[in-house]
Amino acid sequence: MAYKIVMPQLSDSMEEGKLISWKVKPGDHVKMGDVIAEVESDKAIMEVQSFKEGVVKELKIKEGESAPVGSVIAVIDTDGEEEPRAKRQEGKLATEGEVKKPSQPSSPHPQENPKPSKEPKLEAVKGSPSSVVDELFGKQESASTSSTPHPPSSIHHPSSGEAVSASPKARALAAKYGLDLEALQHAGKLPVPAHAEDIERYVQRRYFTPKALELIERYHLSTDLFPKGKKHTEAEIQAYIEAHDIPLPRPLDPMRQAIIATVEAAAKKPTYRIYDRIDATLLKKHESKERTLTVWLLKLLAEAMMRHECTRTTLGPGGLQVWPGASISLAMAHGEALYMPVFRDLQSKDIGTIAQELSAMKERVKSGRIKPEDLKGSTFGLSNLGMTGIERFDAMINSDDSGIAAVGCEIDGFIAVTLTLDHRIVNGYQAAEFMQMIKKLAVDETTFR
Amino acid sequence: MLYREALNRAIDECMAVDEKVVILGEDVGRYGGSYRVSEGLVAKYGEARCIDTPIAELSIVGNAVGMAIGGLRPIAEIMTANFSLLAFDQIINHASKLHYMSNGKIRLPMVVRFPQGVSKQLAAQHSESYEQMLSAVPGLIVWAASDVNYAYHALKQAILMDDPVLFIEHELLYNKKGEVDVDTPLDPFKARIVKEGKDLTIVSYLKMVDDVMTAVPTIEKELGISCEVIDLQSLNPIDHATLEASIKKTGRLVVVEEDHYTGGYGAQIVSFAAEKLFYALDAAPLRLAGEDVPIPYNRSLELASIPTPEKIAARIVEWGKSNGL
Repeated sequence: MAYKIVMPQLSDSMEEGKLISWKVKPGDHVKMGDVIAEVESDKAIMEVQSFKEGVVKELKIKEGESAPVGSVIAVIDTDGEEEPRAKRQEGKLATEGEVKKPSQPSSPHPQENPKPSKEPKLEAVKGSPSSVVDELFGKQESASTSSTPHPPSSIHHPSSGEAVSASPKARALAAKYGLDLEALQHAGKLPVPAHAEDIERYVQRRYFTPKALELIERYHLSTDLFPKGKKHTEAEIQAYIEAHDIPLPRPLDPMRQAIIATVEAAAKKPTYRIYDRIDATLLKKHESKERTLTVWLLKLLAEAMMRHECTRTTLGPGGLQVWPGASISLAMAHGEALYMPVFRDLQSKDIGTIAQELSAMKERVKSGRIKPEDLKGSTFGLSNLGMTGIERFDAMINSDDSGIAAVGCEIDGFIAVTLTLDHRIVNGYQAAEFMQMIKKLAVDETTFR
Repeated sequence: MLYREALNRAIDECMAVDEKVVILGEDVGRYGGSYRVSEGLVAKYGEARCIDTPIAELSIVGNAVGMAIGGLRPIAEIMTANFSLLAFDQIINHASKLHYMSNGKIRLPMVVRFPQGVSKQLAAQHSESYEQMLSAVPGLIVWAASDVNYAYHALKQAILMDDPVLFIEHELLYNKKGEVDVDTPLDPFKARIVKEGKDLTIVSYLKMVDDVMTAVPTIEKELGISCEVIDLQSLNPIDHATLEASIKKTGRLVVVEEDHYTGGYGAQIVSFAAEKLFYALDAAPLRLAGEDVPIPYNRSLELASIPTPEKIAARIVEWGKSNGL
């Protein structure tokens, strides 16, 4: 039968190879392991061997010509391979003569070779559709050499000296994918010994571009979804994702889990809202680059809280607890991250200190270096979306806070404020009084000292 | 609850509900058992049901066989595995075969309990393990309790079962603490997945399970992998289904046993993997076992003769590195 020798892939990036020189001519007898040609890849010149014994029938390309990886470059007639061993031995001696015999004393006796048909990978290869790999590594023909030591060559040799060294699982996988382990190990494309992971990785690299693999991983897809035999690009994977309407899985990170827990707990609280607006004249007058509206709102809220202890109250297992200072949790976002860091005891801090604390906290939020203690100890919250042009909104109460103030943008000299309150701690009348206090402080010049 | 308390509770509960349950052995009555397993039982159930026997193991098990034939549910205690050698004729020729020889007419609802293994300097004649010999006896159910919860449930079921059970304990486990879920019965024939993992299956039993668990964090850290640890529990019959699922998942098998390497029980597990799961194996299995020497008295030599957590970790890490992990 005809054994086709194909242009081997000598490096991952090699797409075609240049034939430097033929070491045989039509009619020559070659043994397995004989060098038949020298091929230049994009990196180096390497020797091409025959994995079968036979007679060179045809050389498909001339020296100096290039051929794509996987294309047939030579055909070797292996007729006589299926003949009984003894007969072939006789024929060999008759044609080659006595002279050749001493030159190959270490050649193993052919009968020591395992019968190719017993190899499990053979059935699988035979049953699989023909692919580049089959072409590339000469299908099952080369398996007859599987326990034969290789002659010297410039190509990397398995260190153990055995032709194929792979775990049973790796062999089973190689059979599934139709890979010729021996040829791949011989070419240095698989380690010796090879394990299942090496085969998987090889198949992945062979049939998927790195970006395609990245996409497969990101979408938690299996490479089994895509037929082997051709290389898949990122665009093909993307098309598959779109055609099958596959969502991008995003596991919950600890931050998202914390947010979900907080807002779910907030949604269970008995809350109500009151709506009003405050005069923005003095706020705008005292606003500066450092002393932003948020800084002044913190100050304003803290002053109001000191006059209404219900907003410094939390509900614990032992009952209500009234805290001495005005500590405010402020909604701060950075990308998808949302934190409610706490600014403590603001009643005793001047506006410059509050501004410094706020800008330091902004840095921590940006770098994600918020500490657990930064998120504890508040009794009331503040969420300001005014800078985004939102007119009015309401916010969800953070952890144990008694309520939260949601602040919109300035319109006609006024800023809309919505208070959301926990009715277990603050009743409607108290909330109304608290809102009046905020409004009063907002127009009191002494607040802005 | 302590391991020995779990065993005590199992026996106590069975004795309370069925007056046919009796215990016999050296010092099991007034002394409460060498390892305090039968503590307090003689006061509750009397000397007729908690029988102190002479130092004669053949007669302890022989009497138990006779009691079982006669309709009682005896629990025979052998003080240590080495002494059970004297009782092998009764265990192997009688306890495990009479059901078969009588064409099923004779049932033997009996348990033979003994502790085995290397304790602390008990020397060569008091430190051996015989699960390999006794697991090779058809007709004998062999269970090995590593887990406190298993000790309670499995011993109880062994007592209430109509077939002979050889119940193996370990001398260093008696004071092990563990949770016992009294209300959730378990299947004593099933192996226990002590820890789930995906890269390597470590199979063990008795005290070595604990030593493996001590070694696992080091192994996982050094190799950057996750180990699945299986406590066989039932040594005969073997829970092949659990082993198969795990080995198919991980592709790699390590068996750790305290007994001598040659002819050791772990070879049976490796044999199963090689014969039935060859194409699932991604590396040649590794067996870690004791050295092929009588257990030395000298403490350093004693520890040198059996796997320890440090040796288990070192050997598995070394093996893993040369096997693609």
